[in-house]
Amino acid sequence: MKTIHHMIKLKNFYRMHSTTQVKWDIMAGLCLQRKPIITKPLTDTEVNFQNILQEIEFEKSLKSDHELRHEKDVKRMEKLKNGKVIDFDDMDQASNQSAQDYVDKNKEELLNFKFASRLTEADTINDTKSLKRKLDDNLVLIVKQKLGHEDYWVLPQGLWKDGETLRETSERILKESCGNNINVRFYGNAPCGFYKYKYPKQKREQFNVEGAKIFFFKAKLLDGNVEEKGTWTDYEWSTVQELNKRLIQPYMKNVKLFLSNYNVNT
Amino acid sequence: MFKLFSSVTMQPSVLVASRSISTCGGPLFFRSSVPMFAEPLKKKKRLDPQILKAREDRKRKKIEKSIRKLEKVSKTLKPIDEVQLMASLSNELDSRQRPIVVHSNDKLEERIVAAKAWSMYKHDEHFFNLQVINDLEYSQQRALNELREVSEDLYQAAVDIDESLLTCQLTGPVETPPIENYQSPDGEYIDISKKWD
Repeated sequence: MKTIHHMIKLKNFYRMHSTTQVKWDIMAGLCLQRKPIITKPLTDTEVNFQNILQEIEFEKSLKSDHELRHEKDVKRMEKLKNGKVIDFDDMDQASNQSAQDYVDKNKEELLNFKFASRLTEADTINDTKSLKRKLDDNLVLIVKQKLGHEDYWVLPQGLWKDGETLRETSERILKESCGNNINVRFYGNAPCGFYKYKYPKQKREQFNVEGAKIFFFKAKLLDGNVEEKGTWTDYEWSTVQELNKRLIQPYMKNVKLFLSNYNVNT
Repeated sequence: MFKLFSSVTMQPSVLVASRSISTCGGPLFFRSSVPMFAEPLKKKKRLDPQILKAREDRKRKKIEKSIRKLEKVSKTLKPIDEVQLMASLSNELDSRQRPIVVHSNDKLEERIVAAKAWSMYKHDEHFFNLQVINDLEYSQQRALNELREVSEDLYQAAVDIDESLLTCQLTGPVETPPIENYQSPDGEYIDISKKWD
C-alpha cells in the first residue's frame, strides 16, 4: 500500500514539474446495460448433475400422501376386477376422484397455460435496436459517433463541463443521447473504468490538446428506450460478444474489464 | 404592681391605639380565620375489618392468577411445523418406505464421474468469478487514480457515497419472460397464516 501511495506521489511530482504542460480533454462515458430478463439455459454438465441429484433425492425420500393414495386406488381397482365384495366405505370412496385423475387434471391445466417464448420476435429478425432481444444476456448500448473524420462505435460519451461532477456529466450525456423517455439507475458516483486516447497530430497542434481521458459510468436500464436524437448516427443494443466486432481493439480491451458477465469462453 | 407583672399589663400606647390595630374591615378585634370557612368534618365510615381483608385478598388473587397465566404462556413456544413431525407420520413410517434400489457398478461409477465433473465445473466458475471481480476492482481503481491526478475535487465527488443506492432493490432473472398484458385469473384470497396470542 505504501509503495502504491509513493508511486502516485512520484507520478504527481513528475506531472506537475514536467516542462511542457499537456492538456487533456476530460470526458464521461456511459455504459448503459439492460440486465438479463430470463435465466441462461443450463449447460450439459449442469443438466446431467441436476438429474443425478434428483435421482438420489428420490431414492432417499419416503412416499408421499399422494403416492399412498394412488397405491390404494390401484389395489381397490384390482379387487373390483376380481369381483370381490366391496364394503360401503370403499363404494363411497370409489365415487371420489382418484389420485390419477388428480394428476391428469393438473397436467391438463399446465398444458393449457401458454408460457411466453424464451426466443422473441426480435431474435428471429435480429433487430439489434430492440430491447426484447437476447433476453438471457446482458445488453450494452453503443452508438456510432463521429470522432475526427470517421464514424466509430463507442459507448455514449461527452465532454465534461466546468462546474459539474462527472456523474452529472454522464447523466447529461444520457439525456442528450437517449432523450427524456428513459429511466435508469446509476451504479454510484465513482467511475468504473478509464480509457485515454491521443488526438491526431493536426488537431493536437491546432488546439494544444493532447487527447481525451474518458471516465466510464455504469448504469442499469429500468424502463423506456432510446429516442432518435442527433448526437449519433446509429445505435445498437449489443451483447458482449457482438461488442468484440463493433468496438476497436484497445478501446474494447478497457471496456471489457468492467463488463462483469462475459462468458468464460469469450 | 404593674411593674411586677409586666406581662399582664396593657401598655398605655396599646390602649390608645387600639382602634387602629384592626386587621380587616370587620368589627374591631374580630379575626376571621381559615378554619371558620371549613365544613364540619364528615364522620368516618367504619368498615368491618374482615370485609376489608377479603377485598384485599381478592385483589391479590386476581393479580397472582394473571401472573400465573402469563408464565404459562411464556413457556409454550410457537410450534415450528417444518421441524415437528406429525404423530400420524411416524406411525406410517413403514408403509412409506421405498423399495431399496441396488445400482450396478456402472451406474455408481457414472455418478462419481458426474460429481467429479461438477466439482471441476464449479471450481472453474469460482476462479472465473474471482477473475471478473479482480478486473472490476482494477478497472475502477485505475479510473479513480487517474481522476485524482486530473482533479482532487472531481475525485472527492466520485468517492462520495450515493445514498439512493441503499434503497435499491433487484429482482433476478426468471425462467420464462413475463407475458405482455397478462390478465391473471380471478381467485379468492384466503389468509391461512396462523395467529399466535
